[in-house]
Amino acid sequence: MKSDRGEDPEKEVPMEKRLAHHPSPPFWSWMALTLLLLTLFVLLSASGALLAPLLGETAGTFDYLHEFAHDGRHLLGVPCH
Amino acid sequence: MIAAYLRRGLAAGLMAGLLAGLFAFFVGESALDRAIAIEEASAGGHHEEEIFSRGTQKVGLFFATGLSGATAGGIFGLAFAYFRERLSSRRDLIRSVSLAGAVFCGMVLIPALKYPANPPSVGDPETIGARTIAYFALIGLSLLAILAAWQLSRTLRERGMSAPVRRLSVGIGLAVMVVAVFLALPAVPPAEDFPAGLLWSFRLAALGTQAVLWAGIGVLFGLLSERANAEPKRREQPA
Ligand SMILES: [Zn+2]
Repeated sequence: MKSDRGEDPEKEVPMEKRLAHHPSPPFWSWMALTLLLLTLFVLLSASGALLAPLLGETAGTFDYLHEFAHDGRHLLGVPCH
Repeated sequence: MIAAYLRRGLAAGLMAGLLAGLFAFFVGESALDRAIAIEEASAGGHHEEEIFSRGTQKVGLFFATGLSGATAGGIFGLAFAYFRERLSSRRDLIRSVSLAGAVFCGMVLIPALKYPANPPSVGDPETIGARTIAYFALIGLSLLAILAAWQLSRTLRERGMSAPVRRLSVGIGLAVMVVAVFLALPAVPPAEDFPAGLLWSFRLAALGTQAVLWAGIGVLFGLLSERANAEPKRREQPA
């Protein structure tokens, strides 16, 4: 049903022309990407000990987060012990 | 437009993460429990003070997979916004599933060949920092290898190379890059004194959890995009 919905209007436009509509990604998207990657790393990485060089004293509070997320980290394949 | 992809990615990722959590709960938790029992039996005298009970950690499982799913989905949405026009398929569902498949290969499948998931009690706590850095480095390099192979494939196609020769060249190129990355990163010591059957059922459960996550992101993101495309065009046309 979806296949006869009509062809993509961009179909006949060559790749170069299509890309011309999409200049380099805006600055905010790079910031968002960095923030998301950092969140993922903090959530999944081993423990407060590993974040200590980054955050200093406050890293200890992350131990609670890491213990709470413990099973998910193991089953998502991240080194833990 | 990018913001719409980001939102869609966060939503698809959250749903896929909760689905992966369900899979992990029903398939992976029993292996995890048995591994923790072994760990406690072997710990003998020095019993570690646990912050959370096992029951709380099983609730935390859904928190972890849901939040990592949403985060990974958001990154996927941004990547999709960038690669959409560069992917050869014309349907967003196909594009989304193939991008998720490529990410799964680079982020899960290739890294699992060198650093497979380990249950509790496997691995020396002293080396956790180095192992974590090596693991994330492996993911980054594997993703770069996939990206380079894809770029190579595009270049060869533009030069008019026939499909079978191109696939072979890209396959060989990817294999060479992966072997180089595997050789460059430190080896992990084998899991000694741990029941092999339990080790592998845990590893399969971990692989399955990540497969559910990325299949979920690919399919759900694709379906959300198709639905948005099918809506009457009230958004302005691109430029
Ligand atoms: Zn653990």
